[in-house]
Amino acid sequence: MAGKADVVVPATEIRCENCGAPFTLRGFQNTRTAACEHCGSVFDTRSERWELVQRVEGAYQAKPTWSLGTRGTLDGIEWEVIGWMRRSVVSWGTTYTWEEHLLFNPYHGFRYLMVQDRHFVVVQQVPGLPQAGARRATYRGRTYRHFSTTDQAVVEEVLGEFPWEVRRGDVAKAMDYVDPPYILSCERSAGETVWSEGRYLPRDEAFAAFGSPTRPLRPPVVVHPCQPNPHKALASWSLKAGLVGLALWAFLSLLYLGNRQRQVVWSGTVGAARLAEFRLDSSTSPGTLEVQAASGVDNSWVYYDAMLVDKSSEKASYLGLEVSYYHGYSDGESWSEGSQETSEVLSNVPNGDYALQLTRHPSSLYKGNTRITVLRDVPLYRYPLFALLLTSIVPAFVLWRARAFEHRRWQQSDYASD
Amino acid sequence: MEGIVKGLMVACIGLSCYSLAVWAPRGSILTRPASPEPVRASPGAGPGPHTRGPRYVFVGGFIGGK
Repeated sequence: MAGKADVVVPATEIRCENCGAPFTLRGFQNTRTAACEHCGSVFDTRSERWELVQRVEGAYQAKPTWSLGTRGTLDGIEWEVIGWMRRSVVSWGTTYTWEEHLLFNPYHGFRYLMVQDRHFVVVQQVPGLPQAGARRATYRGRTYRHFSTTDQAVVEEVLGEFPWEVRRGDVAKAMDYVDPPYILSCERSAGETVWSEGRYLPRDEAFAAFGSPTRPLRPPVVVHPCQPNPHKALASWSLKAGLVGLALWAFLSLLYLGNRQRQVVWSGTVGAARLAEFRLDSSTSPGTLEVQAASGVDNSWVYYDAMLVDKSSEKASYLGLEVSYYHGYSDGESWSEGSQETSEVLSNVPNGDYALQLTRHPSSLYKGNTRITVLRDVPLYRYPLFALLLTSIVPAFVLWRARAFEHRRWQQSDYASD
Repeated sequence: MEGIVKGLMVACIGLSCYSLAVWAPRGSILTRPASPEPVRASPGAGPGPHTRGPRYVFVGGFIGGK
């Protein structure tokens, strides 16, 4: 006696009235429409003798990504491809097409495996009515954003069996709402409204479930409306890390700027030459030393050769101080360049006794006095700015990348920007 | 890839903190360092006609300036 596993239900075989090709019925009593796998003619299967409702001549333009009869397992349930259709919409003069494979399991009903732009989405018709508005739709606690609406989703080709009436040329109004990796779709045709929910199926999972497709499928180029943003998790992490980094940056910047002594160690006027002597004994050593020069140059310039001499080692660092200021009025506009002040900063100057030897360059136009001020331990804003750049550059890049992905997604929507 | 980006981010934040805590007070990296060269002092010569003290000149000759 055969066990339960040995029971085989024979498929019913019927021949196409149009081309005579054998017809295999896979969906059993659920099938309402069947399209010949060879010629595409469509039959109404509700009566015992199938009624030819659409005769189709000519070859198919496209081929299903997975042939009828292909079986695959998704979420532990085995599905069989029993129907296939190719649909299209025309938007701004461009035709977009996609495939819908109808999957059937006698215990779990129907699913649809959509193939669009080499992306895969598993779709299931939903019970109940989502709350939908112009910009949002809510279903089972999930909020979807409106993506696109088209009045002309056309059935281009159809193969196999379907649990509803379908034929080439059928037109429906379609609305899509997205919350990646989910998509909520509404189709309205001839007084009927059908809502369905889809989940993005990663390419690897689709191939693992249904095997190799009937034609090679290169990786997708465009972003699918419900494709998960691959940068989202990293962007979220980066945002948190960036905020922590910014908090640290703010704290250390305030500490740095607040702790600078900005101590005036020497100040005086200098004519042709002068030797300024001073002692550095700041708490930060080695540290910064700023030499400021301010003079009354007016359409003129002055240049000082400055040598900062460490008296103990008898070594000196050179500084050039140029003060140049020009201004005038030409072609109806005032102009000016330069300034009556300048400064030079040296880093890593240790404490000790120093002499600053200042000598005005003989060719300087300005022969008046210049005020020189020497400051120890000055705050330099370039460090907080540099640190801010370091802190924010990687998070900014990651966030930009995630945003660029979303931009690419929404460029295909009704909300695309120019 | 994700690990590399995270590592890079942590490294950048660390470097940022280090630059503020260590480099900034000294003026390291982003500011011209003092680069002392040996000088020779001429006692009592002064740098100019009306100045006192020594006059310093670089041993290796004049560097920089116009």
